[in-house]
Amino acid sequence: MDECERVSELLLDYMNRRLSGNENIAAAKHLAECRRCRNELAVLLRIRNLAHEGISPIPQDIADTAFDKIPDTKGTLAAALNLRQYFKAFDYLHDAMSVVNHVMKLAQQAM
Amino acid sequence: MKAVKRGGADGFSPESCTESTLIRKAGNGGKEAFEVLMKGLLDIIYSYISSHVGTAEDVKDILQETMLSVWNGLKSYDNRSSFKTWVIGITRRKIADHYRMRYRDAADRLSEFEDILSSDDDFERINSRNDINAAMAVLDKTEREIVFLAFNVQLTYPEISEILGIPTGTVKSRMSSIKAKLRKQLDKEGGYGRV
Repeated sequence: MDECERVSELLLDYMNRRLSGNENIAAAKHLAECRRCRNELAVLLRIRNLAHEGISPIPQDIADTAFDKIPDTKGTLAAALNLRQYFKAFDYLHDAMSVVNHVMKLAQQAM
Repeated sequence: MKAVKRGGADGFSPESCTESTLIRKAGNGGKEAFEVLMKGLLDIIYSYISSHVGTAEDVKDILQETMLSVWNGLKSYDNRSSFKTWVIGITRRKIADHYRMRYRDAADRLSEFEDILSSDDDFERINSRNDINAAMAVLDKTEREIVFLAFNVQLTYPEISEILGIPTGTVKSRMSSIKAKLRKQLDKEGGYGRV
């Protein structure tokens, strides 16, 4: 498989920003040098424009009823959130201790 | 990962949570987290359902069933596929269930999953309803679905392959065919945001 074929397979993910950092850099580098692959990407971009034209946002009345079948868990959620408040206190204590430790270290270094 | 803003009176701010946190919270029964998690996908799910189903009432029913299935399945979601891929897969099964129910008296006619999702009559009726432009009309049903999954849902080839149940290599070759057909069509029409 030559470089153009390899990059051609990556173009969809490149356009959709689904590539990893290294793949993204390699594809961008190749595209900067290769007119044929840039044209290939241009075709994908035109198809994307076309595809996006066919999408309409969900009507409000349908969006409003989307979660109607989900059971109401308000009681359970509230209980879970209350419990979370107690753990939060430990988080604050931990943060405060970290700051104290950091200050102590700085003070020791300054001595 | 995306984080959105909204404060809650109870100190819980689901919109500042990452997707994985929302999935965990929703899986533990957090309806508010679930709604925030799913709201970002509503347009895509709605478009996917309405591209297969004719009436607003059916779309609404399938959407609600999809939400319920996602809600019930969250505990078993294992991160093997992206959350979006998983949700779209569930949506596709719910659309198929709808057709199964509708054609249950003619099961022999629509016994296969693919047949259910690509009933010609429905597809043509829905396409004319949605006023899909002439350029897209050159594609067959599977190709249009691949376009939707690749360009609107922004899935990768392996993710599309997982949803459609066809090999990744087949998705890639179908994409080549889509590009060739649409390139010709777009050049003829000279529109759609030439770049």
